[in-house]
Amino acid sequence: MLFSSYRAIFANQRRTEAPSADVQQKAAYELVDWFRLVNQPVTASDIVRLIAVIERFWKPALKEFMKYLSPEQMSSWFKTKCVSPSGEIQYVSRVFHMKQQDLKVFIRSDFDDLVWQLNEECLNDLVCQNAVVSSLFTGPPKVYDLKRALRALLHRLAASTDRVQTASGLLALLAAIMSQARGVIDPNSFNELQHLCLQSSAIRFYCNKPLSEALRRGNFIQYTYRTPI
Amino acid sequence: MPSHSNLYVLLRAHTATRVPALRSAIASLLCHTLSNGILFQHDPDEVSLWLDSLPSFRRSPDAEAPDGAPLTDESQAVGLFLDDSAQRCIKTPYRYIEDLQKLSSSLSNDAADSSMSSDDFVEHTSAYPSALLMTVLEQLEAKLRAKLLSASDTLAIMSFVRRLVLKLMTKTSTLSLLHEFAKKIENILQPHALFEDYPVMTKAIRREASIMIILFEHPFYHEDINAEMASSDVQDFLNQLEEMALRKSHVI
Repeated sequence: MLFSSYRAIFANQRRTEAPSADVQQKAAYELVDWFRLVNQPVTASDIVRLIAVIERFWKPALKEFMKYLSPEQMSSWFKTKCVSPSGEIQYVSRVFHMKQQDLKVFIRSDFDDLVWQLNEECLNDLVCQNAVVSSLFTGPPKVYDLKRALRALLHRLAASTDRVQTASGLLALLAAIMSQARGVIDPNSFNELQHLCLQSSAIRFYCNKPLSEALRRGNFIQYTYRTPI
Repeated sequence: MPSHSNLYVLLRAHTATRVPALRSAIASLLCHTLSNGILFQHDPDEVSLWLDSLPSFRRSPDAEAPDGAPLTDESQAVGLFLDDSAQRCIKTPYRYIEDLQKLSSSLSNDAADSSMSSDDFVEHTSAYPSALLMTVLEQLEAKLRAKLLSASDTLAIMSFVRRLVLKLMTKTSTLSLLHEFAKKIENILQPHALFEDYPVMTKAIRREASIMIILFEHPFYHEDINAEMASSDVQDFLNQLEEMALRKSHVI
């Protein structure tokens, strides 16, 4: 199946010619198709290997590949650890986000996906949090995009009321976004963001009950409302 | 030879170009044009969510699935489907707006979702998705029933719909309407309505629907399951691939 481009690459190798960029692009996209249609379990370490091959063929196809990871595949992939070039053991997510700056564009455009796919370990990982938040502020942020990011987090927060660690990470992300937004958007727009958060059932839920230590670490209320505008 | 609308031509150009500046210019043109019309005048920013959900795939002309189903150009399939849906929605917009309102009202009867009411719908249309979403639902069912979509087209459309729903989740304050929409889509994609000659494609199409529905019904499913066992077939395939990629880099 799906090997027309690979045949071309093999043929070129026998003639010791470099495969054309077009052939490499198609080979990368064929791998994405293979992944969509494969009728076998694909584990987190398989995904790491696939990413490496796709990246070698045609890096832009990675963005397309990530769109087809199911939440459980994305989550298990995020949990996978690997060794960084400096020998330090890091989460794949950390290496992926921090070492390839251009992939911040991917995070930004697919923030909606990421919010549902980050597991509690990643949500509470400061490096991961920074990568996700900074992806929203790589260029001048649009208020519409910030509202979308907040809504995505609030939807997940509403579904996480019985998961303290997940909620804590989500509150920390909300706080970090609001904190950064305060400095870069006009006060009226920032008020709109505050209004959006306060109207949400998730924030109302947490405002109406005593918070555990883990949730207080989220610090959302403190970061967002401590200074009157 | 069938003639195409301007919308189709622009959608195709948007997905086909590899030049970011050109892509951005076409997106601006599409946003400007569509946000002035009935489809998106309720929320001009929603256009970008639809555009961002379009496929940007490139395939060999002879690509095929393991079950033999031909794999064709995804952006063309989605472009044609969206163009046709948009023309229908523009022709009888109130029908689809009413469908959207009915779906919303049916949910407002649920006490757990008191934020959804028909008054809300009229007052806050910008918080709702475009009525084009209801046309997409109707046309997916109608075209599948009439066998007008190939397996490849259906997979392309379903991947687009899944991505779109995920993006639309970030513009609505409640998820019930989109959840209901996702359930209706899942209901349309019963195995008997799909492609019995192409079981792999049928499974992939249904997988798209299940990924979509799982976000609404089991948002923590992925955190709670145990890791799957590795497949030896997948391992063999990856070994071959890595060898090939390594040799390729030596040649280059």
